[in-house]
Amino acid sequence: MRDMEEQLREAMARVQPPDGFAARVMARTAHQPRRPWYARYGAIAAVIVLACSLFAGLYVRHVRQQEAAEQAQRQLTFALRLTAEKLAVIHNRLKVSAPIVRIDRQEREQL
Amino acid sequence: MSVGAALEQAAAGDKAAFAMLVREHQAMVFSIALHYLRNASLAEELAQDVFLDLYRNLGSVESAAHLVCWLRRVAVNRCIDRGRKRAFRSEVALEKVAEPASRRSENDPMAAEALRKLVAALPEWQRAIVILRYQEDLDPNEIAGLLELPVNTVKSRLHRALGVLREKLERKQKQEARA
Repeated sequence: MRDMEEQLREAMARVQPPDGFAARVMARTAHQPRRPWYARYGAIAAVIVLACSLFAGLYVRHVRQQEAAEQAQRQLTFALRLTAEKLAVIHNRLKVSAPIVRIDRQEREQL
Repeated sequence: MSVGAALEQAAAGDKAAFAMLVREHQAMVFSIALHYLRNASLAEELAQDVFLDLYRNLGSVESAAHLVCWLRRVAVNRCIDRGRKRAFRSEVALEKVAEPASRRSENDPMAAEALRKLVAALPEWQRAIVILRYQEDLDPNEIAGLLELPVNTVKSRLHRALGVLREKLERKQKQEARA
């Protein structure tokens, strides 16, 4: 048995296509638009623009959320301060209208 | 006209230069497809598609060597894609196809045909590697670069493919000797 690799080289020899192959290819090229040299960069540019837009959108959303959170915090602080002031006023009024009566031990025993 | 000059002129829109490039490389592309698919009409269709791809992307091909590499890669990838899409049955026998372009077998044509059938029955990557190794005479490093596979993977697949081919061929020869 001859060397296997040699047999493969012979069996796998190049073969010419049927006659008129090049003419058939050329006929098909007549209907093919040529891709300009910059076309291959178009897809890359589109991906970059899309990624930048996405990043900018996410950043703007993040900033807006942060602003809303700060505003809510300010409103809550203001409300708490207002409540505290009102409670202090009520507390003072209660102290004036109902003074604390101190009863010493002697009076307690008498009672 | 050299292939490099034809490439430049074809990229500039010269159709005659592109036709020259087709004629120069048609045997290589057609043979890859034919040995992979074992179907002459499908092989021609696929080879035409490869050259149309080239026509659309002439601007991205930088040199004559790059062109050969580009055509081999696109042809093999298209063969693998086509092979996955449908199961093949040979519609046109290889004997009806034109004679080999370069080397001509001085030995048993039946054995060569049997070997081609066995190659066509290999798994897709093994088949592509065997075709590139023995039709295009590429070494494992070049095949690895072309198919974007590790060199060791190429070597092991080639080794496995040769083992399978040797075993099947010996079995077939024993059967024929007995008959």
